[in-house]
Amino acid sequence: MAAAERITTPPISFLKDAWRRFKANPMALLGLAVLVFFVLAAFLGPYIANHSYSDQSVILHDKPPSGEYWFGTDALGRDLFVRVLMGGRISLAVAVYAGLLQLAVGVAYGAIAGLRGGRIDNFMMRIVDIMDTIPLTIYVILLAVLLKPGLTSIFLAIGMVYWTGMARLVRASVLALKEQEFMLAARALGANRSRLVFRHLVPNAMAPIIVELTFSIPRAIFTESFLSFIGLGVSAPMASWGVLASEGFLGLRSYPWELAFPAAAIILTTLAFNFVGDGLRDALDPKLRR
Amino acid sequence: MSKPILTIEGLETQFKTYAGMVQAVRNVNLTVHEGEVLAIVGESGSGKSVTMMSMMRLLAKNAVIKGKAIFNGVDLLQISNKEMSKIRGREISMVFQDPMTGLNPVLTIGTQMREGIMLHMGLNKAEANRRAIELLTKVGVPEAERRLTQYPHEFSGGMRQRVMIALGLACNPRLIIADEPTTALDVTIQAQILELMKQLKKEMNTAIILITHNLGVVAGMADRVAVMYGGRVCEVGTCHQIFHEPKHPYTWALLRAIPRLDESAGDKRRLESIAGSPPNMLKPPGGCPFHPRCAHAMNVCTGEAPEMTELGNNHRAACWLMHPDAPKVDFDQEVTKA
Amino acid sequence: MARYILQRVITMLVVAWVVVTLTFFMMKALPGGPFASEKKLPEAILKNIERRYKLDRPIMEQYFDYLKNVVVWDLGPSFKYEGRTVNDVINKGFSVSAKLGGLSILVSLLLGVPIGVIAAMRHNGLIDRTVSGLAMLTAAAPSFVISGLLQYFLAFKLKWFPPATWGTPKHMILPILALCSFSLAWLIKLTRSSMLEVTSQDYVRTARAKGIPEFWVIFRHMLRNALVPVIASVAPLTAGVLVGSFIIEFIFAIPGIGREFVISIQNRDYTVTLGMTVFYGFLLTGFTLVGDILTAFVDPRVRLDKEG
Repeated sequence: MAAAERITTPPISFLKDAWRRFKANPMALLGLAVLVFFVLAAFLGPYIANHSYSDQSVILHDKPPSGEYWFGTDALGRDLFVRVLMGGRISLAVAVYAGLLQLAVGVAYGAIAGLRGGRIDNFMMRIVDIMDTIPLTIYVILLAVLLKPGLTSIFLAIGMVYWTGMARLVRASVLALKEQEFMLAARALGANRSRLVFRHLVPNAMAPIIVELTFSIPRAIFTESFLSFIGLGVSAPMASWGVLASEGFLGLRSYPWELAFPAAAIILTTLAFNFVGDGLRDALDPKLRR
Repeated sequence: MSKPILTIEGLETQFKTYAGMVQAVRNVNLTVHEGEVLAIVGESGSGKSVTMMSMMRLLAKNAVIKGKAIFNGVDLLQISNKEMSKIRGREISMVFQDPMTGLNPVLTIGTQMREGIMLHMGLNKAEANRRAIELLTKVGVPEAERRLTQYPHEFSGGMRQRVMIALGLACNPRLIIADEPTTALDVTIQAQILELMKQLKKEMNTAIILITHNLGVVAGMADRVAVMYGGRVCEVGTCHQIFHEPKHPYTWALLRAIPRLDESAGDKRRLESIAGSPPNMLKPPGGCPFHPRCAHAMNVCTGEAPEMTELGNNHRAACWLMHPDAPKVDFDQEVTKA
Repeated sequence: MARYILQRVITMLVVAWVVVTLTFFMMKALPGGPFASEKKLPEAILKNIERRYKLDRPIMEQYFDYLKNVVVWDLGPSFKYEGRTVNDVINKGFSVSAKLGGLSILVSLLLGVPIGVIAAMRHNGLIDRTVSGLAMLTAAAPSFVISGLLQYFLAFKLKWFPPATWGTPKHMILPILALCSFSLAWLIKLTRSSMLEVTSQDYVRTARAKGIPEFWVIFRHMLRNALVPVIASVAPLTAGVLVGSFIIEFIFAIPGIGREFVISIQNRDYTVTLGMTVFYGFLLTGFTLVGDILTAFVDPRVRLDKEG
């Protein structure tokens, strides 16, 4: 990778190289496979399943897993399997929207702070420090209480609060990259400001951003399930994994599978995202390898 | 010649790694005499640091060490770790390369200096303190008493390296191993540190093994020089012999590669580097390790590693060119004109 | 050092003020808030609210009034229950929550740190891999899942512990286990990786080269450095336990303030929710301050805080 190559768009051979490294990591591949499977199941599953997520057969309530109802039924006789799949759609959707919102706010905030530097940077980071002193979850709860209940409010609440991590990351990347030699070289070759930012800064900063995004998704899923458990989640008959878990909790003593299946879904997804995140981190920045 | 205090015989060090056995040091033989400065010169990866670390038993658990390292009649490679730790810091001390990371950031300089002193010399805290102040002053740290209560991050790089040297001297060792002590410092500080070391050597008659890749430092400090490449010793001799009568092609290449400031404008010479790259110690080349990059390589060089040939006056080189049947090659004497 | 502490105290006061201000304006501005609802409130409460919050006054006056009340620690009446104030709610449950939270943190530290150190010392051995795997699994499970597991197996099936409520030491075991699960897993991971990083540091090599005996090297040089990030994380750890207590107290029906908080959320008892948020805010800035001071004690590099 000669210096000349790096002056143009770094990612081309870099991506291939990173993918190769990623492939070499078995846990990361496993995680990716699980995720792809889950996403497919969540979006296609309900179409091919026998029951709709809201169909109730009250007589058949709280039945254990069987041939007819793969995960059993819940308290209102609804097919738990389909509900878990639907829950997957909703939990993942919340997580992804929230992640993107965090991305937008965080990247913008961090980039501005890093690029401007000086007092503006100082001031902006003080604000972030102050925000971080209080566990962000409390803010999320508050927002969720005060906004109209529903899906939108949840991902708005999560996205609007959790961006601080991303902002710090982006700022650090920008600060570090600003001073690196390739930036200087590009400017010496005559690149103007926007070209500098988009063709050079952004591709090199992408790696930690992507990794952070991958880790933010399980965090969002956790938070969403937390909110649902408290009662701030999506409303019936829509079901996210958090809602299913809290419903399942009510019948824990006698019908443990009602909690077990959504819980397993959450755990597996979290682990999968964590493995993929670790794999991405190792693949995209081998210098961090232990 | 004063008597030898350290004799390394047939030292061989390998590292067990996932990729295989890395052969870092292969059959190294060296002798250090009382009060002398032996410089070990070589590229990164030539095995110079690993040789010393092997002898000091400071390598990680995946290191496999064979051979002998006789110090004061004791084979350092055979004694227990406990006994070795009594020798470390007391009889033989080591000064490392990077002063920025070599000191514990959460302990005061005073604590770190007193540690070794109290342990090895049996002094109490107050006496150790006095000795520490004495040492710091000797190495040129001003306001030593106040400095003892400070932390490493309150010292500059040059000051920190002086502290490391003070640590090395603390218990009056008979041998100090200095592993690139000035590489991480800038040039002016480098000069000061080297002056300091010369002075201390004169005062205390300590033997010093100076590991470096900088021939300028060697010329200024060393009594004897050992040149290493690919885990083996290529040439050993006095400073004069190495600089004025070098016999090994690698030594020639090193000398040629020194940039010179005294050439007139019409005498422009390209900066000479040595073509090729250092050997892969996982699968080192057969025979002489330097042969892939050697301008004078012969068939025999690829097959068998040359033995050390005595050249008289304790000057030795390991090269097939020394063999009576080999062609006579003379080093371009221009370069060595002082 | 003193200067550092002063700096931190001032920062904390600013944080506290920000929390109070934010909660106030959120309360006023957001569509789902108490003052935006059109529902008819019971007469007595309405009177209370109006008198207390002076709703017809300009907003800045309301704000300063609110600030004043917070300073004298009067957090206002409940939105839902007549005759109850937020202060009542907090006072009632605080000691219980403090016990629960305090013990959880203690357990996490006393178990987590040694286990992490041992795992690091036996890097890649059986213990290390088992511990790391378990820690990873535990961290991937939300607290209600862990609570559910514990309740199901240890309370319902094996009947070793009561499944809920508070009172005897036996009642405390399951909630503490559930509450400390995440922080325990996290501490183990942190301590382990911190130890591993320290092991390869140059100053450890220097210490060995000085001839320091191995156990000194471990305790004085390695541990002291490895524990710095652990101690620095005590504040966020406490915050995590605090947030976790909401769900744990709720599930195990423990009469602490966490449970009250959740109930107030479900009941839309806005004043209680917001008043408790302010309380939590103060609590957390206090923890952060303590954490910062502790960190400065163990890590001298921090004491030289950037002078602007």
